[in-house]
Amino acid sequence: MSVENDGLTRIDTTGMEPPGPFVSIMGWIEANPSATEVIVRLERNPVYLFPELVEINWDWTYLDETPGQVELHLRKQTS
Amino acid sequence: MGAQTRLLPPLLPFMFFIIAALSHVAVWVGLFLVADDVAAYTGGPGPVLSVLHLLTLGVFVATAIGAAIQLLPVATGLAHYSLIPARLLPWLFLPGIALLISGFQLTDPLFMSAGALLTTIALLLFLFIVGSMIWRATSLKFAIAHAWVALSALFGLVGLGVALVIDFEFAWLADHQSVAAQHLVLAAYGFMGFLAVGFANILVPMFALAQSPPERLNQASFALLVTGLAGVVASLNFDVPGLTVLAALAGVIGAALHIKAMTGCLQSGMRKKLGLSFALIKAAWAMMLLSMGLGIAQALGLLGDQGPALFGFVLLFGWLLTYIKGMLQRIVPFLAAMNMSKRNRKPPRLSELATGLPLKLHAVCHGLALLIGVASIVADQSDGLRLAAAIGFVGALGFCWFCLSVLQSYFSYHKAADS
Repeated sequence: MSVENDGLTRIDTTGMEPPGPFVSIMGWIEANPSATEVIVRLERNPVYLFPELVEINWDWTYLDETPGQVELHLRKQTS
Repeated sequence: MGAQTRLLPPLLPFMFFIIAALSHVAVWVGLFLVADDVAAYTGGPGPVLSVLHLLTLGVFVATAIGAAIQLLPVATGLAHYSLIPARLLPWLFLPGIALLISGFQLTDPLFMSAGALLTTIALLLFLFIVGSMIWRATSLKFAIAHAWVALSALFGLVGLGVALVIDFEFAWLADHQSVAAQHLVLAAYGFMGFLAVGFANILVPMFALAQSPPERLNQASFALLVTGLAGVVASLNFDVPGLTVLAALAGVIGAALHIKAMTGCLQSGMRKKLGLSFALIKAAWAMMLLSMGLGIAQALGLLGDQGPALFGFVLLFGWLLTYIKGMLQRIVPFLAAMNMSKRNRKPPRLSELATGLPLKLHAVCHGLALLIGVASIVADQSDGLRLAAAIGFVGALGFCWFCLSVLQSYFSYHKAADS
């Protein structure tokens, strides 16, 4: 996990075995209730993550979607 | 690889979950009808064997197929080589179990043989589907190791099952009871048990938002469970009761270590409120140990005439059915939601997909049915067992209601997204 110059936290889950990526991302969101956005990097499209994000009112946009690498910008929905 | 190639046509796994939900209802109806014969049942074709296989094949195996063919590609990141075997599976499995269960009910050799043949082909096809996937897996070594043991047990139980069906007609086995006991152990503790433990190692940390259990704990649990399974089957085959008890004790310790690992995840996990599903799962873990204890007591001849029925009820209804229903409460909405993310329409919340009332109805009725069922078997009261079956039936209807409401949400979503 790192915080870049743009002030956004980045969670890199590449190399983690399931359910590591899910636990890292959802765990970070639960541990940071005031957080409103985060960038996450994964090895594949996290189909298992989206239902949980919807449940807690977070949205996602794809920043990168190439074979072996997916980068998502996760945002807490305001409305 | 894109995610969608890892997701099967959603109705395929759902078809197996619907088969399981309907069979669940039918099992309690069946138990109501055979209640007089359960306590004294010691084996052989007839209505009790028919209801038993409605539970094991119709509920357990159907659930295992539905979960494995969808969860394994998502967990491993591997796609099915081809969807043809998975699409073919229900067309073999459904008529196979229908014929087999009818054959047991009617004691009809032709139906039994035809059903055994189709069911065997279906299960070998399932073995091929899962085996060809986990063969390529490079991650999840513990879950994959459990899956290999489960598939080996499936291969063994299918072979013994065929031998038992042939024996009903030709009486060629030296000891039918011993082979039937090995078939049961391989089915319940081998195939279903190892799948349950393997999937739990992924799903429990995921649901609880916890780190995976310590590797050494998992290794010790796995080694003891394999030793227990192999030892019990070998001791039954060679008729060494002392070894059965020792091997079963190894299994008990292995199961206890697995439960310790899982409860450790629940304690350390960030998500504490896990709902009704985990109340069922925790109860199932307790009954997993209880079933093994009863199995040991039965092997030592301590349980009396009701021993086999009590052991079977706690093992199948208490542990496996409770566990499966607890997991399905989480998995069914999750799988539906994974297939409801069209770009032009926001997917529904998980909590909107899974309404609470039918699940509460199911949990309360299931718990009551188990308590009354156990007490009735111990007291040899078939009226009590009928009452348990009637209450279980109401709970099973609640679970059907839950599955159908998820399916209805799924269709409504796609109808709205396509319009």
